[in-house]
Amino acid sequence: MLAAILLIPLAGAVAILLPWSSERRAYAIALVATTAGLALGLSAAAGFEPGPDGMAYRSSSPWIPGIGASLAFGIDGIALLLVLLTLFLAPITLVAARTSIETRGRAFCFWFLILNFAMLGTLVARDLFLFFVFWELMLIPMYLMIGIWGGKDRDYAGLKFFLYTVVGSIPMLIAFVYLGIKAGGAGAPDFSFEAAGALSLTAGEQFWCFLACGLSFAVKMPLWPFHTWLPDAHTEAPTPGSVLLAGVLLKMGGYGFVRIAIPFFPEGAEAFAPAICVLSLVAIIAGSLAAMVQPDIKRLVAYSSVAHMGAVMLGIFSLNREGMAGGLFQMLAHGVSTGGLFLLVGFLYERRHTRDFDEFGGLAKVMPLYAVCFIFVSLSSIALPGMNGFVGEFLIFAGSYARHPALAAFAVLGAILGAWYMLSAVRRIFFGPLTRTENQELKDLTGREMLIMAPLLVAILWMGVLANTFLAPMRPDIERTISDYTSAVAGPPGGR
Amino acid sequence: MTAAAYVIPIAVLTLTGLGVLVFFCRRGEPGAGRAALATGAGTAFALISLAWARAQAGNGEDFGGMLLGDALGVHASILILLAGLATLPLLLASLRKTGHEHGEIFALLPFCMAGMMVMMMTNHLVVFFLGLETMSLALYILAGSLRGDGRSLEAGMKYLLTGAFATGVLLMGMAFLFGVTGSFHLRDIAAWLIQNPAAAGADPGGLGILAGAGILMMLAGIAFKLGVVPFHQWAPDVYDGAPTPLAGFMATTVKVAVFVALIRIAAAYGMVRSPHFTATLAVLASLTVLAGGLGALAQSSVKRMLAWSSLGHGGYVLMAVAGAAAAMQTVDPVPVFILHVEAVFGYLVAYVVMTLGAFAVLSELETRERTGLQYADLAGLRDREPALAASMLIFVLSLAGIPLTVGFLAKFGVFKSLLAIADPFSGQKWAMLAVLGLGSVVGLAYYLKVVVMMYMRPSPGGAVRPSAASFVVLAVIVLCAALTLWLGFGPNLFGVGAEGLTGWARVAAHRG
Repeated sequence: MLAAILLIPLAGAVAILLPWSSERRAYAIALVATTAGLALGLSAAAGFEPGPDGMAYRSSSPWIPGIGASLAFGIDGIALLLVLLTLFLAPITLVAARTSIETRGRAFCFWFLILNFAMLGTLVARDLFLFFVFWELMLIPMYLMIGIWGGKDRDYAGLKFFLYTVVGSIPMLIAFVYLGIKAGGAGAPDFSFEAAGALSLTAGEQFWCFLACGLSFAVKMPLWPFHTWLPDAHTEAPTPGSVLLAGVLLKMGGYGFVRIAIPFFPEGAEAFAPAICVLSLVAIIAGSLAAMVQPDIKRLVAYSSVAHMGAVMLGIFSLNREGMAGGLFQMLAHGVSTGGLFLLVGFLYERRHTRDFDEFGGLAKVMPLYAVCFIFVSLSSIALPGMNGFVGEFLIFAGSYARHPALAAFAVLGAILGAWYMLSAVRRIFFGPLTRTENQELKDLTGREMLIMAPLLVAILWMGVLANTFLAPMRPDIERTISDYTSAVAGPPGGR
Repeated sequence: MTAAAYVIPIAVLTLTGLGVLVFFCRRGEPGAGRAALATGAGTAFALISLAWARAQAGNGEDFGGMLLGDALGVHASILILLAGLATLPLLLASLRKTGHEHGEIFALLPFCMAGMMVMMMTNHLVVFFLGLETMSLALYILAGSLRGDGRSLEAGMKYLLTGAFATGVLLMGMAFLFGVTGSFHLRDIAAWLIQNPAAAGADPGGLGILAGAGILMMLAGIAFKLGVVPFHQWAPDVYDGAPTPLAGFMATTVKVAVFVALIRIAAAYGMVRSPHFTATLAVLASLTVLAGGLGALAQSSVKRMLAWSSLGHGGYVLMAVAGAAAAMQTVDPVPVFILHVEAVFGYLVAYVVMTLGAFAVLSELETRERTGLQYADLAGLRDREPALAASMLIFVLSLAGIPLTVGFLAKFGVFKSLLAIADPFSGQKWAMLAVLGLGSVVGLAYYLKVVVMMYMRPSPGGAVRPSAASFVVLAVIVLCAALTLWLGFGPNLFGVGAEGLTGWARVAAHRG
């Protein structure tokens, strides 16, 4: 089942390579592939029956036995929801790409599907080697998307993105190989998650391994101060690229922490948790402050992502049930909200070819529907109660207050700052006098654009009001992770 | 059938070279097509006879210990012969384009490959030297074979002078070792050194200096051939001046041959358990990686960038050799040593496939005036030549070590083998790993530049269009690209795949 979900985008990509496909056909193939993937994902969710260790749809077949790498797949509740997020955003983004990508649509669809394949693979892999392969594989399509279809600083932004991520992942590779060799013992290495989880590592080993892996995930997240690649990459990427970058790629960092760093290296997690919480707080505050002074709408949203991901990290690393649930839920919420924001900014850019705040003003008069959508999504980003952002933020605050009350207090400040920059952005774009003549002829949302935004708006409301649909599948896994962590840390030093 | 059967492929190659020289290099010979064909046939026949000899003779020694037939030598020889076969059509096409189509060039190649085979299938230092010299002399001439081209003549001259000097040093080192131990055979040398640890350098006085100096000079000579810091300066100029496919051939097969010989020497000398030996190798390897990376970064010519990056990759392989030497000094040396040899062989296979492919693409893009090899000439390649651009993308990503390519698998093997070394080599091991990581990151900067040029720049209006690629050349390039991907992650198809690669490496490392 998981193999099928993975193979569909890959098959679509191969189909696009064939010489008979024109640009329209390429988009059609890609749309079919992503929609089929979504359908499969939903049916997987419907038939989701976790086993005693929380995993469902497990499969494992040897891949390169000489190295110890196997094609091991499996998902639990957390991974399932992230997979669904990925599958949900894909067709929406693709429809948006049709108008926002102006040249070489065929190549774009190809790389889009490869990116999809890599993202899904990262989420379902249960083998360290396989995980690393998919982790690195995500970089190429994203880099090419930024470099070929991006804005005017795309070379710099793409290279920075690539180099930053690779620098982060080399220590992770070393840590993985170390674990694999250790798990293999006298024989060939064994890279499966089970083997790595069963290892008992000394506190020192856990410290260094957590640092190594954590560095990679922190760059991806991004955690302050490893975040400087993000504003450039998000701003220069084409709209579909930004949506996937913010919507899914950033979540991989958090997923990595929850799947690998915390379960395998609990002592390391405990050692680093205070530092990470402080850095998260800095991310929230600094990200929000930076967002306030941006002249470019997209850059403002990018910095808001830094702030939101800071909140997510704060939640995850309060290392209790509420905090982790909040962090994970906020990852999903942020994916939908910020994805929506980037799409909306993209629509505006397609009309006016500028993202400068000064170029706008009073747009609500000419584009009322667009204004409603934008304000709606902004409010969800601000964490207005009733929207998805609120559920996540509340749980994060609750969780982090239990651990670091002072930090939580300051984090709440971040929520206020969030409202400040977001609402003032809204004011500058939509309200006030309609000063510029270019803005007077702007068309409101077209049918296609409404079709793109509608699922996101519905998702925002659903997550905000009926949050339990999304929290429930994650709960047993969070429970297990936290209880494993607490027993590992409280027990004798050296692991389970 | 004794191991003497292994002489047959060497003899076939030699006879091929002689035959081509006599029959296809006459005055008035129309071009080198027939010479290339004859060389190809001879190489193919050598390959078949090697396989036959392997099936008949298995492992063994002959000729008084001068010929050693084991899996490592055989596998590496197969690799070299295949690389040679792949180079032939590329070389012919390139020579035709630049107007230097001479049959003698194709006569020299079999001699070169024969020398390499001799060098790899022996444990005897004099035989090793003979093979090395045969190979080197052929290469000196081949590097300067584009008569009338200043760069090529300079390359040949430079290679000859520096190479002769290095070989002299190597020979002196061998003489010292002979003087100390009384034998040229690596096994006897190792045995003698083990029995007399004082002479091996554990004690700074007396004969210790002689043996230590001997091995150091040998290392210097070998380091020259490999392009290891600080004996690397010849390499970028020589690769740049030589005909492009030949540069690819030189960059790959020479390293394969010399590394195999180095492994044997390291295995023998490593038994002495000298920490200085390990440290020297580790330091040289790290410096080479860094020098290769920094040098490549500064280039505006893609060909020179590839030359410098080849040095860097040689550094990675040398790290595995250093690890092998370090492994010899741990408590349970054999498994970890074998792991390192596996890593070396796996990396060499990967390296040959991706580097040969990259040079092949460059050779296709070259024009008659030997231009078309700057980064700027790659601009917009995906519009002009989508197949070549896609292949180059694969090669460059593999050189950078991106997963799903064989380059990543090879680097992974080196990581794995280095991490398997137990204490007390932690310091060296972690330093090498750090340099490995640093080199990979630095490498991205220039490898991605190729990608940027090909995919993210518009095609210049009056771009020089090279003549249409011949089918064989394209086939070779596509085959290399396919192998680069398939060996990186593919399941075994007729024994070729990621698992197949690890299997070959394991068999080679176990020496049988």
